[in-house]
Amino acid sequence: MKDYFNRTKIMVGLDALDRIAYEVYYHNCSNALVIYDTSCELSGSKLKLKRILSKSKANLHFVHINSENIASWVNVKRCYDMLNECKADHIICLGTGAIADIGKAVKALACCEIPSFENVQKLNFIKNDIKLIVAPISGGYHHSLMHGSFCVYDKHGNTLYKFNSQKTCPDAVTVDTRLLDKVSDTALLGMQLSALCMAILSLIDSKNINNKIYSMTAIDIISDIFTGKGKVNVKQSISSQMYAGASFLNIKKNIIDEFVCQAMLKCSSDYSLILLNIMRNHVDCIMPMLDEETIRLLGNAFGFNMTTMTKDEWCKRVSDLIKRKLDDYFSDENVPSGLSTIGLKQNDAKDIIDEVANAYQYSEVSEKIYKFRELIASSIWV
Amino acid sequence: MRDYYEFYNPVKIIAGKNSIALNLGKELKNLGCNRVLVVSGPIINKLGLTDYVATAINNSGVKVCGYFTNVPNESSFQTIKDICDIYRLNNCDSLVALGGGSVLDTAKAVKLVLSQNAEDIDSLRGYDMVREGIKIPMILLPTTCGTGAEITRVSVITNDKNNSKEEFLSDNLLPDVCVLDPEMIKTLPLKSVVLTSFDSLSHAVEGFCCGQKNPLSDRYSILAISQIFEYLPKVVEDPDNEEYRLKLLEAANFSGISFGNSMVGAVHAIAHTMGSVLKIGHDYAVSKLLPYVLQYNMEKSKKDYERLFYYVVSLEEYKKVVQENRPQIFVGKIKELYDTTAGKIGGIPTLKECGLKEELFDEIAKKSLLDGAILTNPKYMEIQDIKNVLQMALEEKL
Repeated sequence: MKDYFNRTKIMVGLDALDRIAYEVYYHNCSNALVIYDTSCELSGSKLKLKRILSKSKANLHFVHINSENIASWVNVKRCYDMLNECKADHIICLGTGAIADIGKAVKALACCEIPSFENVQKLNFIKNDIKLIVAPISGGYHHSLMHGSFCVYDKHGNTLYKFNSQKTCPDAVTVDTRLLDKVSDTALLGMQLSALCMAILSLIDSKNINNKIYSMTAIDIISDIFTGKGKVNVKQSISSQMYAGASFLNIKKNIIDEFVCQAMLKCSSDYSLILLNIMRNHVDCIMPMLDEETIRLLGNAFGFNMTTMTKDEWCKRVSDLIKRKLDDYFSDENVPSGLSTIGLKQNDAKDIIDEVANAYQYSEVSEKIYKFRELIASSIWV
Repeated sequence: MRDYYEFYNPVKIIAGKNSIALNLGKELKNLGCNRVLVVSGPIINKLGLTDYVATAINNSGVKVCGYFTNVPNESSFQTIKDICDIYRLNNCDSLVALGGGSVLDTAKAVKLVLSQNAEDIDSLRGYDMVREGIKIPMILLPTTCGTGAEITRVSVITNDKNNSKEEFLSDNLLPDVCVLDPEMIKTLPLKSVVLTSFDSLSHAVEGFCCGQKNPLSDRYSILAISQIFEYLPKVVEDPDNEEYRLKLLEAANFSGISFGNSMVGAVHAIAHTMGSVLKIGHDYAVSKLLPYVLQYNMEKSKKDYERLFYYVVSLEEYKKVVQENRPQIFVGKIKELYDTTAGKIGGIPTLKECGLKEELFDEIAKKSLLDGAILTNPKYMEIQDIKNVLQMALEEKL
């Protein structure tokens, strides 16, 4: 029996933020809690949102989040209290992935009969009255289509909070390309590569149609960029990250994601950078884990002349391409290369592996993924 | 990539053998339903499928409180009003509809009216006008392999006042769940399986090549096209095979997701007109027109055809064809698929036998240009272009 769907409406392109007016009208919004960060003031998106909704009947209640890249439980509780205070029926998240994570966690709390973190983690959701609109402005695009909160944690308590449920996924995601920051070529390449890696990793064990659709869509976009068929622009790179994230991060028992999240707790680096550092060392081992059909699709997407190639040769060509691009990316002196340079220590390895092992027992995951865990565990800090 | 696009597919899709018996009641309970109105058409009812569905609902403890089993081929505003009256009179709280495009469009329109607490559908035109309104849980069960109506945000209903077909667009038309169960198409004649699959193939190909495509709709198109090319010949060889039929039902759903989030093109624009002028079925008209419109669009869609070619042949065959020939051979493959499936089972008339003649070209061409789908065709069309396509289709020459 197959069961596939994704509740989120995706809106991408010029002035996509304007469509929030329709969403707010359609759902008859009376009060909206707008969670935003400093990047939204700089990009003008806060002002734009105010203008867009000025003719609607919705009252806007703004909450500014100071901390960068940290979706802390303190902030979640603060926003949840504000949601109740202003009786909001909508949450609009403007800013980074951390802002989206806060919004998702607030929605999750609001879905519980008794709003507690324990109930959120147990997915004890009994209602779904709050609408959530996510508008990523400056990063964290791979979080956007994720059903739950990617990583809401208390840095000092060193605790990873995570949940994933269709009931708390955003109702709409809007990526307004007019508001996006200027991104350097290196940062763009990093986005494309992390998208490609997430897409490939999700295909290793993909059983769900949605996962396949989203990961192949991400690969289509990146292959167009890498083979020169499409323009290299921010919109394409963001789209690929968004779809790769939708595929990779919505896998229920995702051991690789767990590994990266645990590593994040030990350092102050971001998700993509950790993932790319891992991929740099292991792409040769990871590619052969894909089945022949997937390798064939990848080879075709990247325009290789398959008339003269075997599966192993396609595999090697795709691996080489990724490695070459990763080398380009890490050759930039501003990009930290190697896990030790981003703050991970030899001693952290055991803790991380233990946490991952605790989270996912062998019996729960496929043999392929188990092998992958062993692979990382044995060689990542070498 | 276009400057702006939307993609929306929130409907929970459940597919598999016995999925109605196993899941329908459970899903209704999840949606908080207690009193269901079942909507279907006379043929479906006669085949016993309405009873099958009602039994699955009643067995789960949810109650069927009303039936409307007489949805006509072309539902009118009055039909919608009649069904809404039954729903209200029986104090129903949810809808389950089983049927082809017409029945499913009817149920969607009924949901729209009920959700807005409106008297009739007349006042509910315009995508940006309708609000979410009252929640009316709805589950749709398709009984053909073609329309994808179970997954699209559109409903076409005939206005009784002027006999014109009117299109309603709203997020509100989407069901909560659709269930794809081969039981629903077990008795569908092979001819209908084949022709409706060509409708679904045209949704997928036109969705992939049209002006409003986006990266996600492209992938759903590819999935649908490869599945149809793989399983349509198989179902012709083994018509009772449930797995093959289910694959085609799924493919129709994928192509529905694709064109529901992009658009169609001239195949549909001309087929709509031909249908009303010649009084022929939509799936038949589409199956006859598809290769010829694709041929006309060749210049603009070459790259798309080249990409699709990869998904419709084996790797060995793909390797044999040089790059520049792939687009033309792709169009040839569409025609070949028709010849080896519809052509093989026989009993399908030619367009000439259905009354298409040169004297009608002008009328069909002029009316086709008024159809909205023509606007998203990859290549601009004028009256003479449509006439040329009709000529090719009449002569069956690419």
